[in-house]
Amino acid sequence: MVRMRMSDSKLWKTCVSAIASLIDEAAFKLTPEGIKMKAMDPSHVALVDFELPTAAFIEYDVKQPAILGVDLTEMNKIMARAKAEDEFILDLNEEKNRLILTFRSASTRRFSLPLVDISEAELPEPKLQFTATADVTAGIIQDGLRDAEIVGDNVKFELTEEGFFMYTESETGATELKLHKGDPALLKLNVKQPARAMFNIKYLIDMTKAVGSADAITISIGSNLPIQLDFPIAEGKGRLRFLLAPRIEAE
Amino acid sequence: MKKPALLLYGPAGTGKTVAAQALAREMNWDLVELNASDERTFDVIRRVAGTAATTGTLFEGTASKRLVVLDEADNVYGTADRGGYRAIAELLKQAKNPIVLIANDQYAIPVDIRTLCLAVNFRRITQDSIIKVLERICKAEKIEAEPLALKVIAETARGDLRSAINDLQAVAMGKRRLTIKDVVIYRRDRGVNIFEVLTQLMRATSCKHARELLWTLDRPPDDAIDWISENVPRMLLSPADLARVYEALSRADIFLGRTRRRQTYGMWGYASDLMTAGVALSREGQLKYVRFQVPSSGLLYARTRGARAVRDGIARKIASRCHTSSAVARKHFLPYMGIIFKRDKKSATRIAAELELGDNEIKFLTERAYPRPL
Repeated sequence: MVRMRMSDSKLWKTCVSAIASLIDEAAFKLTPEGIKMKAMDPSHVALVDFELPTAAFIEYDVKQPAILGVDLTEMNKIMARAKAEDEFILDLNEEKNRLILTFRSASTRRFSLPLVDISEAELPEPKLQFTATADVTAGIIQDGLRDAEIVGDNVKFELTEEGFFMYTESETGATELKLHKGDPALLKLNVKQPARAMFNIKYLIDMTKAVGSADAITISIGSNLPIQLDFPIAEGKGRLRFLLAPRIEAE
Repeated sequence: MKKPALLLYGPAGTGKTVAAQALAREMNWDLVELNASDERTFDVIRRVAGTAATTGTLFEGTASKRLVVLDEADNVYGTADRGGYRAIAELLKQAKNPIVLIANDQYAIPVDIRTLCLAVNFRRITQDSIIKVLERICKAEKIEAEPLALKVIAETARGDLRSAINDLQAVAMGKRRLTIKDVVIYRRDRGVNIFEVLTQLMRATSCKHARELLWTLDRPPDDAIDWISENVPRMLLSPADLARVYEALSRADIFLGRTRRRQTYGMWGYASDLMTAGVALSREGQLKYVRFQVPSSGLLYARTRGARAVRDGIARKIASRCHTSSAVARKHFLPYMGIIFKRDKKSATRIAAELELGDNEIKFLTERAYPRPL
């Protein structure tokens, strides 16, 4: 038997929406300790690393480890129907191989979603030596990315002792965003070695669109390494992490 | 000039995709494949392959490379508006990572893309090499295989190693010993390509082999004889061979005619033997290579289908007015009507009104070179 109950649907909704913008299908691993999911997008450019421990649920009943293959596009459509005040329950109908999603507030609404077969390729764990990290208010990053999108396809991130910077440049023009050390929106800055790298804007917008603008995003980079974005979920008990590989800059 | 992409082309089952995968493994590159099963529109190619081709890897950033493989590149979605190919051309121009295009037919790929590629031809694999691979597999799987059985599998594959391996798996599954008999029975069930049968038929050296070839073919003998008589005579160099082959074919045809008239399907056996063993063993001289053709009788029927429908329509109208069968009307009345319609406009008009002929029927009678038989 599998049953998971959350006091509201918001957390699951935001996570699924962000993940679904990168990948179409995912294999959620359920263990008595919690849910885990890790997957790469079809072009092997982005990676999602998602974890929700039992503490994030008000009821969590998984006796046997199980893998749920989910069509995220479909699940995202269902989650879009959830209201903020809805209590959210996930059940597994093992006989019919379906996931049952229940939203309960004034009424009880139930959706059933067929599970899909996903061949599970074990992902090698990226071992990356990031040299700089910063905690930034999500709204600032979201704005910066939307600015950058006007001008180009790629944005350059730079972290130095002075602060956090984003630059975009193309034939159409240029944009920049600066956060200096001490600015309130730059919550934390830790630079062992200054670093810069360039990334696809569209991917970053997809990854960040789900988080609330007041939340903090932890950004880690290293020169010409992938960028790592960590979102605080379930009061820091869970993990929603994205990795995005850097653009190869023109010589 | 350094080309941005590699184009591997050649027939199926010759190792193109595996070569690309081996390259990625050898170089320790991340591998992204876009197959024909993925929906490859302009947008998908641009988003998936385009990003993959211009971005570093998740594991080492820009320090390592990724190989982007577009399999079946001669079969890209949206060929009508060339949308997929437009995306590929764009991709090749921007790529920072190595790209491999894979195709059976290199000429199906637009020339502006082909010129950006370094083309490498993969050829059909020789029968001996295929047999060696099959032997190796049998050894690893501890299957004792008759050499002839492997030879027949390799022969049937015609240079396609993948299909040879698939066939071997299908016939040898769960067996400790593989004989020629297993292979023949399997091929009969599968239904073999008519061209393979024709090729092998003229090289058959025993009655038994020639007859068995027809069994592997999922076609009735009256269909098979059309294919054989269309193609086999053109393969022969010696007039004496040609005479004997036609003798065998005409005798086979006599039996087919008797089968049809009397509905005695037992005669099919004689017809089959004559058109296979009879034909194959009539040959003494050399063979020449020919390109096989679809039987012209079938094409003729297809081409004249419309005209025959009009002809039969007229015949039915005549039949109902003249109290006769439409077969008789077609055979005895139509030729004369053809002459009347070409020579005597006045009578033609009267007949047309009497029979209530349509425009296309009048046209048929005036223009077709009747009484030439259809």
